[in-house]
Amino acid sequence: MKLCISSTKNDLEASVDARFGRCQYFLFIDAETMNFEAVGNPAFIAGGGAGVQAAQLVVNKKADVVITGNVGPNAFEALRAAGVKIVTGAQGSVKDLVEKFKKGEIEYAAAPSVETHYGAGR
Amino acid sequence: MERGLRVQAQEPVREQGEGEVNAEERWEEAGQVPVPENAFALPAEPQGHTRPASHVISLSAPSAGQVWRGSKGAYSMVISIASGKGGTGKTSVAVSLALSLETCQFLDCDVEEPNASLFLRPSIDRKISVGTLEPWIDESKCSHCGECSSICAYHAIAVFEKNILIFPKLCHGCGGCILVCPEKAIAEGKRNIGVIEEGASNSIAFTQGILNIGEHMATPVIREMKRLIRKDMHVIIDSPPGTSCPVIESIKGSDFVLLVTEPTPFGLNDLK
Repeated sequence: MKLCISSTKNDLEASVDARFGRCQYFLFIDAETMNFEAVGNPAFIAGGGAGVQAAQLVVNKKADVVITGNVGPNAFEALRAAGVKIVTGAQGSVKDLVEKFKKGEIEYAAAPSVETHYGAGR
Repeated sequence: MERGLRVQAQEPVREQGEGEVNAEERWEEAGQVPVPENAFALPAEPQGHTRPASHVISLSAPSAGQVWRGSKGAYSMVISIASGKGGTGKTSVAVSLALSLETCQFLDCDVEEPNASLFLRPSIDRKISVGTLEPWIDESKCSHCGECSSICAYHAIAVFEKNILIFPKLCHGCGGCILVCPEKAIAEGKRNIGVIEEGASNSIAFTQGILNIGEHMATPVIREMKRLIRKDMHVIIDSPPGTSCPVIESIKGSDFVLLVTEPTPFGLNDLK
């Protein structure tokens, strides 16, 4: 199972980034081995289309589940179309979230949690 | 400004068939008549927009005498009214200028909130819908190679292993995806983004653009409007506020741009 967690830094101790499309880093983590790859988000400062761009990246990296704070409608639609499961409302460190995921203490989101441009800071 | 409003207050009188009055006469009248208490209220809705035929200019064939004639013969100017800050009085100035001319064409290019029609109360006789290019995908031809997604600067296309998604609101209509698709699976579709309305208000040929709510691309609508600019009379363009693309598109090709401001630090800052 490959997890993708939006993160503020490029290591497992970092806290989750509340924004999906405009987060700092994506951490792609193998839930079994805890091996991970940190990818800087090219859409970090995007004016528009950040969610779609980020979703495309996540799908290309073949993640099964996205864990993040908030997901906008475009990213949500794209991720769902690609069959990626989404967890919103995540808080705390990336490491803790992986543990929570393993214990099954998470709920998958059924709808986007915010409007477009939510994470764009305006 | 005040003058313009006074003229507005006089307008219902003029519309009730006072006949042709030239601009100077109208101004003098406005100066002599004391401002009524309801001077700042909008004029009453003219009944059914019926006007004497002599007041309505034909859009297709202007008769002689409607062409503005200067000392060097007939010529026309395009004057844009713009401002850095919103709410400075662009529309009031533009409308007043238009009313001071014997005849002119008025373009309300503030397509996100066109409101010159509130003052000019034109009768609309033609509507033109404005569309923008939008990619349409033939999923049976698509090989999901992702070329279209990678060329799109606005990330309006997402391509996955088994499906492809288009986000029309992000699309800027460049057509790049159509060009790069190796399977020729993308067709040139069209999406309606707004409407242009043409009509007349007394001797003013009136044109306004209205962008559909939720759309963010004003420039295609303005570009189409400016193709309707007439050569046989002066043109007054009421521009949107600011300095962004829609403003540039509005004032492009103008002979003069008149910048309107107001006596506040904000007005001065945005004027500069």
